[in-house]
Amino acid sequence: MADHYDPILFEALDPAEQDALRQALGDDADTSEALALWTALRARLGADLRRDLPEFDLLMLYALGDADPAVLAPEEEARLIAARPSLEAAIAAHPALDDVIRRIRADQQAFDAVWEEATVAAKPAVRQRASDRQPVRASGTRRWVWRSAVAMSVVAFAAVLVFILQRDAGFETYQTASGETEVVALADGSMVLLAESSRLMVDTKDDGERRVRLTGEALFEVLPNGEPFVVETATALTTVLGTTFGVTASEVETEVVLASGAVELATRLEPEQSVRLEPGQQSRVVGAQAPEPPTRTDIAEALAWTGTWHFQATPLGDIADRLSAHYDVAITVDPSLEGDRVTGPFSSDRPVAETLRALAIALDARIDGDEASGYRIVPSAP
Amino acid sequence: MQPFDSEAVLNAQAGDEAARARLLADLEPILRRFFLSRIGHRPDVDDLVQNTLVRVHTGLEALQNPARFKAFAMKAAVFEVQDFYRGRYSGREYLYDPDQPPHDPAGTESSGLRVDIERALEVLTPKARRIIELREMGYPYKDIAEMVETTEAAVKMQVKRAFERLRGVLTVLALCYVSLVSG
Repeated sequence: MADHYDPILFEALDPAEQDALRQALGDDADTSEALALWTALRARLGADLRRDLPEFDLLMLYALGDADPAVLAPEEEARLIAARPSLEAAIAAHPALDDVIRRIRADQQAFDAVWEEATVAAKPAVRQRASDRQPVRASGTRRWVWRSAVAMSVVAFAAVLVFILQRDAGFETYQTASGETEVVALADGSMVLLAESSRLMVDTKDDGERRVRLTGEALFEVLPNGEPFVVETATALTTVLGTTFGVTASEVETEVVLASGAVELATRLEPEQSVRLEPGQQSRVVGAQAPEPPTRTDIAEALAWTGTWHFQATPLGDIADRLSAHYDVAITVDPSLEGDRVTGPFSSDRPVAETLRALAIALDARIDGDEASGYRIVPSAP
Repeated sequence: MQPFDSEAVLNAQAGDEAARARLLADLEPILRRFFLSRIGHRPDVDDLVQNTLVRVHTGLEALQNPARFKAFAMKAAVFEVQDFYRGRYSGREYLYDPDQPPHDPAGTESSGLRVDIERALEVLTPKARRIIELREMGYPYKDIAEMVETTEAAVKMQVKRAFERLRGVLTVLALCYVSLVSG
């Protein structure tokens, strides 16, 4: 299907050579006209992109900060707060931006891996898979009277193992112990923060479907790629297209809280019995019952275990109360700013002064006072 | 004192030239490994390392929290490699700065093509649009193929199909024009 206009389509020539080729195409009016339209079409798509995303570096901060808010400086965090609504609108309008976000996060993960390898001589056990653990060895004493019983147990165990292996074939398993959390980076660029004593099985089959199984608690940041992302738990199916949400699952109950985007929660037995959640809402599936109607919830509180506060149009007054309790320092807000709303993730392990500075820049405010006397957020202009 | 602990960073920020040189020297092999892992063994790795070190050097004073040096260096490296993907290191890879409005010597937008463009946008498939948008951001077709998880040949086939659809649009528009004139 090689054609004489390929060099223009694929930009194999520099602009001067392209002009020369265009002139040579003068005899072929139809192709010349089509190429002119092609050039105009590309220019139009590029212009639309620049209109919706005037600052590319903001997209980079969005990709890096949503994966880990702690990497952003207060000024960067403030820029993101201000730009988040228009950024999310641009991402929704241009699916290519999701591809870019995935690429940026892959770069970030690659850097983290190289850094860790270079700076940590003995890697701490942040991540522990069941398969990595050393088996506990029994005493070396051997008595033949036990052997037949042991052999029978081995046969029974092998049968169970074969069943489990068949059921779990094509899944990669991540398991956290008590007091341990783990960040799992999925192949599609999505991230999962697995809480303590939880287990996540990730479908590794290359069939285009994105599916995980969860027991315990996890926060999901799902990047949209056109394919649904399904979280299976003992009682429920949670289907998303691209969003941040937390799931807590036991054998009898599944609770979902939504920080951003949209998810659909259904019972496993009757998937048509579903509810759709909006940001700031939660719902539950108990046993085989239909999902409970969504209700408003305190997302920051529900996802506090992640080390990140996910504020969703949260009034500044409420944020100040939370920060004040978390850092054990007095924080007051000028009445004129109390109702100002903030959306976005904030790391809870960064110094209080940094978080306050980010909020102040974003809201065109300033911070008075200090940790000893207490902070006060006031308008920057008197 | 560890290579990147707060004390080492603070010393470098405070004007201790030896501390600054040590910090950058410790960072250099990490950057090199990172860029090699992202773009492979290419001559551009040297430029990427150098430019990232310049970013770190010039931005170090502005780093408020020295304990966040890793995040600071990571951002410098990721910004640099994104610049590389987007053709900033290759004058031949793109026709104009992806972040600037394109030069339009023929004035195509103002010469009666607007209606055709609207029609062309309608027939563009979502996949082709995604590819063209990525190209407009400066990513070369090879990288676009990785980003949309396919081959470079498949990406180029999508582009060619989109172009052929455009020719179809022009044919239909011409037929409509003939029909209007003769009708």
